[in-house]
Amino acid sequence: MLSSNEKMLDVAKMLKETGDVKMFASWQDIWNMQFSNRRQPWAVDGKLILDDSMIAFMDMAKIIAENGYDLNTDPWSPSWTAAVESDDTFCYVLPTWGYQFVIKPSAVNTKGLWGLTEGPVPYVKGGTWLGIYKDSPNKDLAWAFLEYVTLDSEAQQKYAAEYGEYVSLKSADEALAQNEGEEVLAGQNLFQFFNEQVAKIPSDLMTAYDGQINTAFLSATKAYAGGAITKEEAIQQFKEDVVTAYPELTIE
Amino acid sequence: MRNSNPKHKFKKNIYGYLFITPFLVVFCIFSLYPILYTFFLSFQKWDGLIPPQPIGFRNFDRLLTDKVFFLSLWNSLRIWLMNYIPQILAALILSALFTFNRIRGMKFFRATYYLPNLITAASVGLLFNLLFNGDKSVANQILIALNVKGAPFSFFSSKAFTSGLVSYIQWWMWFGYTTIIVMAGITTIDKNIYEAAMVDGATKFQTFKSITLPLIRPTLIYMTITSIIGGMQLFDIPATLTNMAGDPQKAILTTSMYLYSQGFRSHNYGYAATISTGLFLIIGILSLIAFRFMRGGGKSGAYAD
Repeated sequence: MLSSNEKMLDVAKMLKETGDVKMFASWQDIWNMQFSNRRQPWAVDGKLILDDSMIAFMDMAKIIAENGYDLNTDPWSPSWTAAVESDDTFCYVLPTWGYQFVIKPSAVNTKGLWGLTEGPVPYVKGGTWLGIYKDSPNKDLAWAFLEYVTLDSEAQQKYAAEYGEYVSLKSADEALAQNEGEEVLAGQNLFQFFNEQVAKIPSDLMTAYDGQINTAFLSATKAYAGGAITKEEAIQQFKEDVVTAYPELTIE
Repeated sequence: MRNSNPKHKFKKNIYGYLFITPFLVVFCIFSLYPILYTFFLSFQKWDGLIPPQPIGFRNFDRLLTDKVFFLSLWNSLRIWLMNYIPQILAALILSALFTFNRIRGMKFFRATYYLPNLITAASVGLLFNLLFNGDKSVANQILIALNVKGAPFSFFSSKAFTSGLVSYIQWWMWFGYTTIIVMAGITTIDKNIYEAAMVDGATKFQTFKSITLPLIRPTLIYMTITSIIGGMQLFDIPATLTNMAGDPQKAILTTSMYLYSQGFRSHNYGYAATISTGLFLIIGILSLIAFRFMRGGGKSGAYAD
């Protein structure tokens, strides 16, 4: 049912027409997923690339906003979070940690009514890094700590079981896949689910420019989806904003 | 007094310097040095990792043709004007009411008006975002319950609304403070002048217009200049109200937000420093204009200020 973007929008239409239920809390939810649908990163050899999937994202945003398939709010706003418990919003599009930070803490009356499923595009979002300073006097201690927080399977299992977070250590995720599932998810085991998904994640298209460019693109898309400007104007505004943020990039 | 010896006097001076030293040291480290360093950085290209490279006036060339910079200046100025004019009017009316009439609970009102100023600006920005963001926001739910036509509204899609809201928040946060300062200015006026006016048969409005206003002019000049400085540096409210980039369509992108974006998001610290230097000059010019304008309004006051 959700195997492609078109089918996803069909479901949204059906939900709207049959029960006046909104598919998403915000159209911006599908951003991370569509971001993973690109074939090229934002910049190649100092040149801005506007991938077709980004144009497709603008179109989808417009369709969702115009047809009222969402609550017309921003992700992480109170009404976005509150939609976990509402009976007129259908789903969230979230990365692995979405369950831990959005669904699990908010689900009270909807415990056991949630489930995980695959969307049109597999994606990964977030991440961090740890390092050891080259002149550190306590390198051994730093390494011991680093090893503990990243590679200690038992510690990871304890942490993951408590918070419901899919961790970055395969052995821990595999061990946890044997346990019983989450109460909120009606017994579904999220580790089992994500262990299957991990294999499908596409290669990494990150650039150092992503932060500012994403902000500019979402801002332009929002103005277009809200009806303030046309699609051409939105693309023009986006390109101007990218040059303002990074004059070293060339734009076509 | 002629016999006080010069040595003693010299010692006194030493103590004077000693007393201002703590301020001077803190000022030099935390104000003077950053200002000079910003000025130095404005001639450099620096991403924060590699050492700064001098590039002459290239940053300033860019600044003079940067549409976004001028837009951000206009945004800051517009938001400030839309908040300062109502603010000074409200302060004058309230302080006139409070000082010329005996109003029950005056101290309570004065404290209440001042309260919004105590809340951290960042929380106020988030609070107003919460009130207006989304179809299910508090404001929209009230409007829907009242059967207002067209509700729910996308408030933050409207440039005029968002910009006006920032001005309103600034007004709401600062009119109490301004009222207190204006009232303090009014209480310094000699009672005899008012009595003389009463004897001459002046009405309350005449007294306010011809005695109070001219005599509190130094207070008003002080208020205006500090408000221009604060207003042109406006950052926290517009930054927390929407997406930090001045959405919708840069309607509330102030100069401080723009320099933050250039410095800490694009990692172009040299250009951010140039924007900062440009803003510094603009604030200097605006303060000077305000000073001249308000001072040059005739010398009818009881004393030259």
